[in-house]
Amino acid sequence: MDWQSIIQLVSLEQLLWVSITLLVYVLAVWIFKYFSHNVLFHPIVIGAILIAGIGVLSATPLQDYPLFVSPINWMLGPVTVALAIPLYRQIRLIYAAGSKGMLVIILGGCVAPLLAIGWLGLLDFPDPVRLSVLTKSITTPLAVDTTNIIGGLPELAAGVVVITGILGVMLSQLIFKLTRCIDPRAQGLALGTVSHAIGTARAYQLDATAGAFATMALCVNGIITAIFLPFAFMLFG
Amino acid sequence: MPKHNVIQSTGAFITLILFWCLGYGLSLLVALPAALLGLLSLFIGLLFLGRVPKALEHVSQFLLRHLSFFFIPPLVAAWFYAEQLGNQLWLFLFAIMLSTFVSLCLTSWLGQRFFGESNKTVSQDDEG
Repeated sequence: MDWQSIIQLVSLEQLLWVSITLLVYVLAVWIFKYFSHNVLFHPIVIGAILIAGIGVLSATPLQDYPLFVSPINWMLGPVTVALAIPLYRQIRLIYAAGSKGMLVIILGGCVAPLLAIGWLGLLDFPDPVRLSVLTKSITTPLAVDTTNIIGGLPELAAGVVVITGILGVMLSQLIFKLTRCIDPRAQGLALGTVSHAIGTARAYQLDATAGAFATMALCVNGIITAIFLPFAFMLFG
Repeated sequence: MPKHNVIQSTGAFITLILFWCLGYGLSLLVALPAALLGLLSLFIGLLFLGRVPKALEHVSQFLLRHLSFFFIPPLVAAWFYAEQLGNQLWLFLFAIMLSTFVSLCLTSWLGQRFFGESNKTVSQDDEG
């Protein structure tokens, strides 16, 4: 590859929009802190709204935006690999949670996507749309890759994952009261299994033990789902 | 930040990239996500090493703390699919709400039954 094509690869628009996204993210984190970590003001949501606003103001067609920020997507792979470190750190918790803990994660990890796809199955939705909800409870980088392999729409899957995460955190307080769930380990497992990274951040606010269990549940559910789905589709798809 | 820290952090980040590349290579053999295979390879590597190198710990903590940043673009892109769903968007959102609600109820209830029983002394005064 010569210099000319490298320069073309990183165009001015890309540089501009990646910088804008970085700035927007910093601002969104500040807003999130300002509203004392209320999940409605999650940096992903505020960031996306701000980007959409900037896109409209600058008359940039938003369809082009994902293209402009493709360098951010290249980074996502190595960042996902970094999940190996919390997994390694929390490995003793897999023993501590034992087979019962694993059962909770696996049941939770199965029920959420099956219910969603079951409901969509009753209605008239195109297949790629239906398949995009199967990864709803796993962390976005794994969800995007897995959805790609099983033939769903990765961008839609990413949206579904973020909505699931935020809904889970919003509902968690009510549900913990309903089910009388007070054990921090159980709360962490539930938040990490259902609401992946967004739930894990919430669990750390509740309690350090809850956070550690949520991290473990997030890793275990993500890995099991990302292994199971492609194999299931290879065998039966 | 001292100079050697910058070099070590860069090295740690390159390690992550290399493991992702390894995962990508493996994904050509096994039909699994490249990032997942990279994650598992690094995990096995850490098991053999028996500890997490400090620089790798710092870099990964930093990256994972700012994981949200990487999901702003996909959420913007998801909006177009939402528009395409038109009237069905609410039915689609309902599927996500329902399944999130039910699975959260199930996991928290089961988890409390399993863990709550293992130390009854703590869970006696749970009405508060």
